[in-house]
Amino acid sequence: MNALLSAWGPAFESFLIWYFLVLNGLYVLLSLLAHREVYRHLLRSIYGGYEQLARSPLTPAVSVIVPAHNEEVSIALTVNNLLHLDYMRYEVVVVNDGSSDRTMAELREKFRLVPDEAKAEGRLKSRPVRGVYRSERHHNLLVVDKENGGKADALNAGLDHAKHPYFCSIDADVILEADALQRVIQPVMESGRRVIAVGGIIRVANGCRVEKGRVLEVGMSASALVIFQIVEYFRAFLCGRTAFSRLNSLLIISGAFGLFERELAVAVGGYRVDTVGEDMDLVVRLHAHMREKHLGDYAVSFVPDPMCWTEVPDSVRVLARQRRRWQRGLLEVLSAHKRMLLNPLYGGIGLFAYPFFMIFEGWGVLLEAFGYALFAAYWLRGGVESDFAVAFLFASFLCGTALSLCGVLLGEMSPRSYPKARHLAIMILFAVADNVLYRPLTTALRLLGVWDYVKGTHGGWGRMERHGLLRKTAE
Amino acid sequence: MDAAKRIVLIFEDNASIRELLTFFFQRRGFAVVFAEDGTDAVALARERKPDLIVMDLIMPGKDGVEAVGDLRREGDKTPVIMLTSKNYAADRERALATGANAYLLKPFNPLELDRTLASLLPPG
Amino acid sequence: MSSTGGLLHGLIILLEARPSLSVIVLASLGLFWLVVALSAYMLLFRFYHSTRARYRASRALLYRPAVELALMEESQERIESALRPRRWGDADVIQDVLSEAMRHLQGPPFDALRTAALRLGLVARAQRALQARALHQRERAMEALGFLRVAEAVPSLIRALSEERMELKLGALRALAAIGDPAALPAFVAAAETLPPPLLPRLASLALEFGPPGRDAAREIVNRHPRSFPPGVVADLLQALAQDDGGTA
Repeated sequence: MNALLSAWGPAFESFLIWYFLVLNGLYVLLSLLAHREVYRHLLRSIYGGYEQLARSPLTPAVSVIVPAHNEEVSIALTVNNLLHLDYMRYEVVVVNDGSSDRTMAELREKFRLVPDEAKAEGRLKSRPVRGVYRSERHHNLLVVDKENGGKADALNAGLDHAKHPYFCSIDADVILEADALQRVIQPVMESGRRVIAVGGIIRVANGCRVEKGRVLEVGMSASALVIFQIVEYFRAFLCGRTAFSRLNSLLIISGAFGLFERELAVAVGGYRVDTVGEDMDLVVRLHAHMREKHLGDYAVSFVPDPMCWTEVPDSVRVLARQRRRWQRGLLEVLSAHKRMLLNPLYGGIGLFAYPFFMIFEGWGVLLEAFGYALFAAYWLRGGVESDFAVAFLFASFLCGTALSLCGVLLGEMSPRSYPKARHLAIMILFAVADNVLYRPLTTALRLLGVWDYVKGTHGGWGRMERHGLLRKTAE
Repeated sequence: MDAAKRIVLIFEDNASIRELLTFFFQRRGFAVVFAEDGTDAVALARERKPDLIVMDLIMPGKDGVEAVGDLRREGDKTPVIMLTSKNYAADRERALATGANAYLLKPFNPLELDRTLASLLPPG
Repeated sequence: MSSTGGLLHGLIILLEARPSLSVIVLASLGLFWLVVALSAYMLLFRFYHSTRARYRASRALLYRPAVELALMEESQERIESALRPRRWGDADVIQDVLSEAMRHLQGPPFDALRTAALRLGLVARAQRALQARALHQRERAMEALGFLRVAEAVPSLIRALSEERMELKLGALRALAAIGDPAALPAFVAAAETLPPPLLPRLASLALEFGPPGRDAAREIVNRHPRSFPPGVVADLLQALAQDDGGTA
């Protein structure tokens, strides 16, 4: 073991240290950029003309597509909330992806579905559709019943049946704010450029007071794992994605909530069913399409206002499944679009975002894991005083802590932040502990994801143990 | 509470509008009860027996049109005024078709509301 | 590991001729202090904002009765004295209270509150703030003028349309739409020539807020720039216009 360690040599150790420094350093720079955006957003008025936007006939209509698989516990509540968003013209397209439970029955009962003769456009392929239904009580609810095919397949079926110029893809277990559609359409209407997709920050619903399908009071869960994720989501969304969007290189819009131009999405072939990273894949393909076909100036925007709340895993087992899937999906998407790497045709994406994701998010996890392992080895060998260990301590832990704190700071500045002072104190504490406890864990999980990818694992979406967040608190 | 006071039931989720309507109706001698969405419209109407109901078209949970529909299906004949945005004629028609007696445009004009009240309710 | 210890260690490394690592260690020490500073900044930020919000809320309570008075059809004098600032710095709070009430109102109570705002100098204050240095202050001023529906501000707002940055142009358009003076409509049509094409649907949408003359302006904008209006949007607009023209009054 000693021979191995000395064989690597100080050069490699330096390389590792530089890797961490560059990674965290770049992220700190991105955070500074993001800070400016978020702060400006905060200073602007709380009115912003959203109401007028929501009520105008010239604001585009939106199709909200909800793929649902075995969601009998909460589907009725979710769909009811979606039907009462503060937006004038929109439709809700629920796609029952061959559920084996009472999802379809719940929908039929609660919304009085009757068969609908509307023909799908037929431009996107999906698993066979068993039936299309409309609600008697709600004229803007459409339910597509189809055979099981996975989330991407269900979204494609939904896209085929949707009729409005924009669509929102959401997960069946999210809670949308009432003004979510107003806020997500705002960049489309008020940018000087053509906005083809919009993403938003996903907030953690665990521990919040949820009543009648709305988050009434923001609260913090007691679970340490959840709090780590709260800090992580703030960092990832507010520091990372805000900045990337500012550079017009945003590659990921979360599948939990995102808005896209429908015609464009259909033109690029909808969602790919053979990858678990279908949300990122669509965005990357949209970028590619716009640039390759020289379709002019465009933007993929990010809204730092909270519009969507979701339940995050509160057990390591479920977290592991999720992170392995995310890592695998990322690598699948990156490999499918290799041609973008350092290709000036793709502008900021080819020259910065793609290499960044490939090096730091995709494969860099190997270096990170090795760094942590090496540090642990030094520590066990009896001494954190070695140069490497000291440098690692600072490069990885301290820089990482600074980054996590940036995330918490931006979280503080955004609407619906955690109200109590002790919440902030807890988040600061967890931001510090993040790099000691949580980052190594996610690195290990992502490593497993890389292994899954290399091994060629296929298939699906594991089962998320839903605690019936909506249902439980409504009763 | 003065037994002769008429009761108005206000369904409105925007706190400012609710407040303005409360002032308006209190000035005219009504007792005001309010709710934030139409989910319990039928139950509330049965419990409080209002003389008038004012409802916003857009509310979380259950919006104005659905709530009015519920009430009318239960046989409730209480006069209903629907608050609607000025931009969508279709919504106004839908409100009236489902059973609202009159609509009121937002931003609301107390003079308009007075006129509507006069036409809907016997002088009190 | 104290910072002096680390500093010492960094120097030792330097002496052992390993400059890259020592630089890293020293730079990282700076980062340690940055981390501490960030935490302090956050706590201060939180403290400042929550205290400020609480203070403003408590001040607002003092002036809200004026809205009630307006709806209770009380005399102009009573309304005005209820709105008179009682402490330096309350002007902002009073403006917010008025904006929040007046945006939902029209008719006699609105007129009473507007007269009060005029007499108390709030309108003049907002007009002055249109020239403020800070971007967000100019935005808020435009917004206030919109909510107060100050027709006298229309020329300044039209000027802002050609002079200001994008967010302010939008703010000016929104304010003009809230004021509703049809004299601003030619400026809307003219703005269609200079605004980037993706913004034209928004422009036309705000033009519709003016009522019947606004519809003509919107139609003109669409006719002059058909390519900026995706097919679906144009159809919707025409349908909406037809509805309002032939629908219930």
